[in-house]
Amino acid sequence: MTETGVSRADLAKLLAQSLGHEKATDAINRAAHTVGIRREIDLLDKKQALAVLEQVAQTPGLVGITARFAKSRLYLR
Amino acid sequence: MRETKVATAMASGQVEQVAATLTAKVKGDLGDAAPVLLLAFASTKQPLSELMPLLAASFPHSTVLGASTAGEFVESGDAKGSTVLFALSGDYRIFAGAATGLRAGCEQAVLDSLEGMPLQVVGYPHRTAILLLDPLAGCSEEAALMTAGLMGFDLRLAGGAAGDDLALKCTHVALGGQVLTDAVVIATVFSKQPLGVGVCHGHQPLSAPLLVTRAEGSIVHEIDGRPAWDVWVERTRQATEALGFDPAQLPAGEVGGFLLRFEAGLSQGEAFKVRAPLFRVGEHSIGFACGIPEGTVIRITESEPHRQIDSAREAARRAREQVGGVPLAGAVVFDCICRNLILKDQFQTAIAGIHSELGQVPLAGFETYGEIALDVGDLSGFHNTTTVVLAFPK
Repeated sequence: MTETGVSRADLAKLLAQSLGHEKATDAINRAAHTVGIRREIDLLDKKQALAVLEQVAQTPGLVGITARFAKSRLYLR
Repeated sequence: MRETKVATAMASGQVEQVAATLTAKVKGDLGDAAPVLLLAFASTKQPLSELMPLLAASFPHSTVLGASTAGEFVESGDAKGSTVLFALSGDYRIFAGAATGLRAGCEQAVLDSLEGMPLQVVGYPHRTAILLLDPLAGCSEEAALMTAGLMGFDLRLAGGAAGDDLALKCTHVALGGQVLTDAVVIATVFSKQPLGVGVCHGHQPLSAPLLVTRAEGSIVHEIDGRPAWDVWVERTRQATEALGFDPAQLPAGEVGGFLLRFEAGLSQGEAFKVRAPLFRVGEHSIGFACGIPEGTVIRITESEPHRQIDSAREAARRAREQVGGVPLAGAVVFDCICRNLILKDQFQTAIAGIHSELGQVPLAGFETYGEIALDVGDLSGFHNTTTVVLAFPK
């Protein structure tokens, strides 16, 4: 995370401890697409990053729970 | 401030005698200092349903938590078929709750167990939660994250997933005389000084990356498009041949031991987070201790005995470091059963390493089906193949 934004890789790291790197990266990219963030955009502002995590948080089970937890952590930064 | 004292005891045999022996030993060691918290870790040979009411009656003014186990140990040695008791006295405030229904509703169970629990206590600036749960409910990581999320982000969390002597059929946790399955028990320890939580594992990948292609909750049906069990047997064949057994021929009672020896690793960049497969489901599927979503990439892992000994010591060192190097009074250790399966007779060497690293203080612990450790800023709380050390400063 930088002062100007959060990269997709940084967001994936928030989920990777519970889901593993590959699943976390996939979940972030799918959610970013769903909320309308174009593929070529890597650096997200905090509002976009929270929207992506919120989208992942809609997933049932461990993926959603992990995203809710990560969202709270990101919010506090 | 009252000095912290820790007493530990281990006993085996009939439940009544075990309860009496444990009680006499810790009361004798603590002297006039009444315990505020007791943790009883019991083999299925001493069912918690019989043991806990006796211990709760012996310590009516203390919080008494319990978990069934797959092995037990104190600083002087380890055993099977026994019970260990950890007793803590000192300047602490303890609050605890328990709830069932993990499998049907993990979040509700965690919420129920936290009902009425304070988030702060004036004069006790540090808080650490101890979480004990039934891993066969299949939502251990979920419960750990929910506990941390609901209790606030300054929380330090430690704990373990109950065992059942490798039967992988039914595990129990307890609070006082209340003994529950499909359940969670949470105790918050408010303290004047921070407690230390250290965690470390010594596993490394054995297989190439494998993709979970069909899963429901904590049950993995297919890996790389094939039955999960078949893949596990195939990909561990070389290692199991070296160990002298064929997992395809194992009797049902030994399948859990095989799976816990070869657990699943999630990539974290250069490191791996390990997830425990616990039991075979039908002919082809494998049940885990927490959710394994479809699309997860895993590697089957293994470990050498020396790595297990080194990682146990490292977990103790990390716990000691967290309390700023002050002298310790004692520790609780949550240790994955896989480590005992790998180390066999050398397991005592690992305990001795922890004991030495902590300054030869009393410690008690059990062989778990999963360990819980989450520090401020961590993003995952459930572990497998690790040693988790919860250290209490003097």
